[in-house]
Amino acid sequence: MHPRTDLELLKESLSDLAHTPYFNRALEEHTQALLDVVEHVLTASPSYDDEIVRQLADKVWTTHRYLEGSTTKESPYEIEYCLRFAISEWLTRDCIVTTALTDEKDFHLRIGDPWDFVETTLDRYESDLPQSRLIFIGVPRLYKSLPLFCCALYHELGHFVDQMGEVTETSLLISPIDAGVPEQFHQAMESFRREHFADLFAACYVGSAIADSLDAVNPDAGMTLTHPPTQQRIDLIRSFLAGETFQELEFYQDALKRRGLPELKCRFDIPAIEAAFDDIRPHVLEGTEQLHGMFPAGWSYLAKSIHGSGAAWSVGATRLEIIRIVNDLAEKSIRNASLRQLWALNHDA
Amino acid sequence: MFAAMPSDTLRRLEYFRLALQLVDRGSGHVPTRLSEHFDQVLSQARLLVVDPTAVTPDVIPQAVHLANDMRRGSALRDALDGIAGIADINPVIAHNVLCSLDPNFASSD
Repeated sequence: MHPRTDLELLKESLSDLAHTPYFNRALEEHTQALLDVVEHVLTASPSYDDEIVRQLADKVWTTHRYLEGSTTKESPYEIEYCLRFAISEWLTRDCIVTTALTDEKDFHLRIGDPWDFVETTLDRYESDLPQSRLIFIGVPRLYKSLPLFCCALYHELGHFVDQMGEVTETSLLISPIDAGVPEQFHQAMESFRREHFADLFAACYVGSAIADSLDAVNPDAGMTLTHPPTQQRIDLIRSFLAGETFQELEFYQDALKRRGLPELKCRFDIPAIEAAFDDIRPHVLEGTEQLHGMFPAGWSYLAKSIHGSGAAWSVGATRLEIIRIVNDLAEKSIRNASLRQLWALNHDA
Repeated sequence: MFAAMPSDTLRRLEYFRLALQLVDRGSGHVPTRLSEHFDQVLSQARLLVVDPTAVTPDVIPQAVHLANDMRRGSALRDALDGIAGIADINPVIAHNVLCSLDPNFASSD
């Protein structure tokens, strides 16, 4: 529909959202600023160009979707909590994670709030804008309470970091696709380089869990125009985790260095969860690296239990019961760690 | 999908494209910051095309992306030939550059 009509509709919905009683206070500032910007654009005289209004309306629509998602009390808090630490290692700017549950099997993570756009294009808007930036996460609704199944978000974070810093684009600038490769395959090869980067990025945080996730989703997936075959992706991840060096890794490390970003390296510590999980108790995680390490530990424990060599409680349990219990234990372990951190912060204050 | 929505690739150069779209549409006004962004991305990309190793943390990410696009496509290089900034661009040039930026559609010229 016409972007000005969309903005009118979004304004109404945002007003309702601003009055939601359980709304996250950290997001109120963004909601109010969005309302102010929309009001400014709708009443500006002379009007802003329709193309600017259209692009703004798209951004407000997207932001509205995620702000709304954050009011439903359905957001997967634990995975958000873990990702916050990973994000802070790559972005210097203060970021707020907002989540929308998706009905499809769709994980995504992207920046898309309208503030840079407003600063760059609405030259008559003079009010202050929020200093923090919103990061939008999409998690399949079916997985909202299954954090171990959300490892793919670390892969998506890899794409996000890549896009923010143009890491693989830098690598392609310095080391283009071999001229010997036929021209028609270049676009696919470039896309493969992006996928491998995101895989290795994820491996830095969740280790073998990202390979296990790929294997679980579609072990036999062949090459497509956008993605390398699953087996090739898993092999590359395993090589990285084994500490091997290879040409693509060198491309990425060089590009990261040139862009002033951290290097790809393992940033997790696998916690010894067996004793606690065997007793159906959450494990006490120590430090940020163990938060990320919960994922490979959980996947290993899950595999052992499903294949019949798990704890007594798993004997006779169905596959789905095991999956739910192990994910529940992982979820509670992460949540307890976050509560301890909040307690420590308040205690120190 | 009912109407075309911008892909992530298009979003990467969105401000660069938007400046061109405004000129292409005959809009009399390109916002100052948008103009500055366009000029900076173009000048940095030009340097990177000549010397890819000139990438530093200070280079705007979009400039890296545009530099690669310029290296890949002679149509884009030709369309931007002799252009120092948005002030040099008229609707015809803007249209040609936009067509050259889009990987799926060749210029109608």
